[in-house]
This record gives sequence, C-alpha cells and structure tokens, in this order.
Amino acid sequence: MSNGENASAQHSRRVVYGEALRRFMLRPEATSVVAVIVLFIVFSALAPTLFPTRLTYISIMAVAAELGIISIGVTLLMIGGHFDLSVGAVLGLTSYVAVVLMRDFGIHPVPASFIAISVGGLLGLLNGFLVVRFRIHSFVVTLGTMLIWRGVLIALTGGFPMTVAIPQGFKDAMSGPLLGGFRMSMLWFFAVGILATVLLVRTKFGNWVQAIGQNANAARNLGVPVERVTILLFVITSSLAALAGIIQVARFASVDALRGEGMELQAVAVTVIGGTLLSGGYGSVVGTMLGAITFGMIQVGLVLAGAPGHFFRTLTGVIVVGAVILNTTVARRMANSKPLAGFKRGSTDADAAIKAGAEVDIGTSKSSTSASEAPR
Amino acid sequence: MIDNASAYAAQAVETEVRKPGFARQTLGKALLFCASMVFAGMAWQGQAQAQDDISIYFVGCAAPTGFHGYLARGAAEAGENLGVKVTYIYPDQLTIPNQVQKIEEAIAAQANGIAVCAFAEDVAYAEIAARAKEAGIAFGSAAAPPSGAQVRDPEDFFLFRTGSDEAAAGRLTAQRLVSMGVKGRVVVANQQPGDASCQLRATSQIDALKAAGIEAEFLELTMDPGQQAETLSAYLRRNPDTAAATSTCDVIDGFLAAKADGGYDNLILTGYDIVAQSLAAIKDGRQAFTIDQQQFWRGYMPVLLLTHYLKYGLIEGNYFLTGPTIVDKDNVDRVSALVEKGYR
Repeated sequence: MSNGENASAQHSRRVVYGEALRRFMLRPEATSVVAVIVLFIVFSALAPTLFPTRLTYISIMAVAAELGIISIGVTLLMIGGHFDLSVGAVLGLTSYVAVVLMRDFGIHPVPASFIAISVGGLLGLLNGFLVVRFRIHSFVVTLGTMLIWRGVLIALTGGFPMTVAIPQGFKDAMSGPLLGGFRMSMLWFFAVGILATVLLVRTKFGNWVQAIGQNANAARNLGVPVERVTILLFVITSSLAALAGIIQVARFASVDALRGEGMELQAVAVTVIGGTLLSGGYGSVVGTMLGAITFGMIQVGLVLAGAPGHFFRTLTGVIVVGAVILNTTVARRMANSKPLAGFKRGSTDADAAIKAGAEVDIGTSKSSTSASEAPR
Repeated sequence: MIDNASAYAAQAVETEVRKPGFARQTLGKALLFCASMVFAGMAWQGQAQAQDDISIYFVGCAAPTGFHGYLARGAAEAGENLGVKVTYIYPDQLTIPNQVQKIEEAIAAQANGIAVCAFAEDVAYAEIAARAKEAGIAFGSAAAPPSGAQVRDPEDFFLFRTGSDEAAAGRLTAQRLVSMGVKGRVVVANQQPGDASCQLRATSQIDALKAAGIEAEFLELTMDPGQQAETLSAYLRRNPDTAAATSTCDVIDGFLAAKADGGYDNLILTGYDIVAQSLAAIKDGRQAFTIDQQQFWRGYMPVLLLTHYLKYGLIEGNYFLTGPTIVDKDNVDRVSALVEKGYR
C-alpha cells in the first residue's frame, strides 16, 4: 500500500479538506478570492435584480481591466521590493504622446501606440536607473518623477483636454465591446495577467524578482543581476501603464491634463487587496487581477445597491484596510499553523491525501487508484 | 529694445556659425546665446521701468494653464491696457497655507495691490488681509462673494470681489432643466468631491431641483473617465427614470461614453465650464448645455479695480459677478470662436 493510500485511509475527508483549505489560505491570493466571493454575495443580496447580471459583469470588467493592467505592473515591482508612484502620470503623458502622434503627425494609431508604449518604457528605464544608480528609495524617486511627468503633461496640454479622431477598427481592437458585450480591454487584461503570471512563476526572471524582493543582498550574493532586474521591472511597469493609457485613448478619443491622476494609489490598493506584501518578496498576479475585480465590484456594486453617493471613497478605504488586516493576520496565523492530522509541511502524503479526497469528491471512478499514482 | 537686442544676438550668432571648427562654433554659440539673454533681460527691464509704477500681484489658485490660463491672460491683458505691472504667482498645491504663503511673498515684494483667487472661507484670509492693509497694500478677491450678496459690505476686508456665483450656477442649471420640461430623476455627479466649487454647484442644483419637485441625487465619481462611465452606467441601470445627468466638473468624457454605450439617447447631459469635448457635444446635440463663468473677467476685473482704486480711490458698490452664463446650441459657435482666441 502506497503512502498516499495510507494517508487517505487514515484521515477523514473533513480533515483532508481542512488541510486543503489551510494550504489555500497560505496562498497570497486567498484573501482576494474571499473578498470577491463575499462582495458578490453581499451585493447580490442588496441588489438581487441588478447585480448578478451580465451588464454588471461587463461594467466590473471594464473598470477592472484598465486599472488591473496598471496594477499588474505595480505588483511585479512590489514583489521585487519597489514602489512606482509615477504610473498614473506615465499613463497620462504617454496618452498625450499617442494623441499628438495621431492628431498632429497623422501617424496611424498602431505605430503611434507602439511609440507611446516605448516612451513609457523609457520613462520606466529612467525611474529604474535613478533607483539603481543613486540607491534612492523607489518611493522617493517615483514621487519625484510623478510630479515631473504630471507637470510636463500640464505644460504640454496647457491644462486643456485634447481630442483625436480614432479609427473604428483600432477603437474596437483596444476597447470595443466585441466579446459578447465585454470590452476588448478585458482580453488585454487577461493576456497581460497570464504573461505576467508565467513570467513570475515559470521563469528564472520571476525567481529573481521574488528573491530580490525578499533580500536583495542575498540575491546579489547568489548571482542574481539585481540592478538589471530592477530596471527591467520599472520598464515593464511603465510600459503597462502606457498600454492602459492607449486603451483609454482608444475608448474616449481624448487625453486631459489629469488623466491617470490617483490611479497610482488605486493600483497600490488593488495590489494590496490581491495579497501582495508591501514589504516585497511575496505576492501574486492572479491575486492582483482578483483585487482589480474586487475594486470594480465595489465601484459598480455600491451604486447598484443604492449606497449614499458620498461614501464611495470611504467604503473603498474601509474594504482596503479590511483586506490588509485580513491578509496580514490570516497570513501570520496560517504561516504559524501546523498541518492538520499530523501531515508534515510539504509532505507528499498530504498532497496525495488532498488529491485523493478531491477526486473522490467529484466522483471519478479512478478515485481508488489515484492515490497510488500520486507522485512521491 | 527687445527687437534690437534679439536682432543683434541673431546677427552675431549668424556671423559666428560661418566660422570653421565645431568646438569653436559651439563655444561661440553658447557665449552669444548668453549674451542675447543678457540683452533681452536688459530690454525687458527697461520696458518694465517704462511702465507705470503700479505693481499688482495676482495670486492664483493654480498654474496659468487650462481654466486658470484664462484668468492669467485676463490679468495680463488688463495690465497691458492699463499700463501697470502684473505678476501672476500661484501655489504648487492648492492649500490655504500654500496660498497664504504666496500672498506673503507678494507683500514682501512690496506690491501696490494684490488680487487673490480666493477658494476658502473668508476667515482663512482675514489675518493676511490685515497684514496687507498694515503694509498699505490694496487687497481684493478674484472670487465670487457669498451667494446672494450684492451690495458690498463696507466692513469687507476685500476691497472687491469678482467671480462667478457657483451656488447661482447650480440654481441656473436646475432652472434650465425645469424649463426644458425634465420629468424624472436628475443625477448630479462630482468627479472631484473635495473641490468646493464643484460641491457648491452640486448642492445648490440638487436643492433647487428638489424645490421644484424633481427628484435629484448626488453621485461621487473619480477623475478616471473609464470609472466615471461605468459608475454612471450602473446608476442609470439602477434608476431607469433618470432624465438628466450633470457633470459638476469639466471632465465629461465618461458621461458621453455612458450615454453612447448604454443607448440612453434621451438622457439630457449638462456640465460646467468650457472644454473642447463639451463644445463638440453641444454642437452635435449629445450635451444640452454647459455653464460658463467667464473666467477671463475674473482675471481682468481685479486688475482694473485695483488700478482704479490705487489711482483714483474708486471702490465698487456692487460685487461684480462674472457668471454664470449658459452655453448651448444657440451660442456655441460664437463661444467656440472666442475659446480659440483665449477669451472664453
């Protein structure tokens, strides 16, 4: 009899599920999953005819997509131990670049967008260079560049909104409601989320990012090119902010001096709701995607539930603080928790028992053999 | 004199660049550029001295761009017309301490008159107004008087007040909606909930609508147009009886998107202040009207009033309201032309 069969035989399904739940709660995105479920239930109860509908999901995803794309970059950077407060200003400035290239230079939106995203990358490169070269905390550097880029944008636009004619094809490709009413920005959001997840959990670069976020000196001693990775993270973050800006330009055919203002803090809030630690080294892109959806649910759900108009920011803040408290306390408790029923941490017995339990639960005929096939 | 200096510098630079040798050319250009700057500075100083001795500081709310650019332009044009020196200064971040600091700088600069784009309660400016008075500096406000006030209070520490009555603007919007025969709910949304002007517009509009028997509700938004659009869409779904939506600040992209995306063709959109999107939307009928506060006057009139007070001792009897006025389909073309010229 294999160890897995022993485990599943010795422990009741309840214990096995308990251990599975414990393990799930150890994951960074656990809180955001809980937040999405709880908010969905709450808002569905408060607005039963309006909230659980396709139109609501479309609205939520429209909000989540644009903010989520920015937040994914911020998440990668935060896992790497840095902040970027300039993403909102980068969004605004690169949107301006795209609008000017299209309107004043007659450049087609596609190359104009590539140029604008490249400009975003260059702004990120500058952020990264300043952080690495002068060893200044990224919070301070990006606070400064945020003010600079915002000032430049105000000066360039003269404070006035600028409009541009966007070809329908480009508008549809970037933000059109082509996916059964859902906007194309959702597709971009998922694509960016998948790529970032693969980058973070399936590549050497992702390992380096997490290592740097946990202890940059230790990572450097182990041969991780800390400076190069840090700069690249800033480039990715600013490029994603520029991509979000392009999506907004395509949808609204305009840019204004305050475009993107405040989104840097919304992105941090979304990232924190998603379970990424402000201290770096720990986090999840999937969690951030769920965090962005949480944010969208709050924004749309409060209105549908008829919440007082003045309370949106207040309630959002309450939920952010609640999510952080939940994240930190649950993470601390779960980190100190012992595996149930005598499982050892990371033991293959536990893996096998959970897998066997799950397969029994879904009623597969292979349940009796799956444990023996479990990897040791 | 400026022309002479510039011509001299340009001629000198042109002569220099003909010389061979890259390094020498570059050095020469740099030196001549510096020289031209010195000449230009001397010319400017000379022109300034040629003006009247009156020096007026205009303490704005923000950088002279966009909306505030019109105020600054109005002040500058008044200065040119009246032959007085006008200096526009502003705080980096609009807070009471920052703006008071700027007023202190104007006092230290020994201005003859100061006009402040007041954005807070009078009590915030009482102390600095007293200091200006002690220093013999005329002190006025480029902001509207308390709503409803018409005759100037002789005890008012501001020599004058000139601006648009935002509470009246809210009431005007409500009156126009009522006259348009709006039946149903009106949502009044604010993208900048901390902004006193936007909030006052919203509050007075809602109160006036309710007084007219129309249900009106406040909605808080963010500055992001995507979030604006989705939040407003959600509101319209929850309240299908909504007949009109008002944007209390000038970023109206999200409103236009929500109307178009949701197919709310009959939804009446109204706004405040003038921006390109609003003018275009009024022209093609997507937006009914917007409220203009004619801020060019908010820059021009304070300089005029200060100058005439300093020269002739004239003080206004009535507070001067620059707005509100309505821009709709009837006058949008004329207003657009003035916007392009920088006057509206």
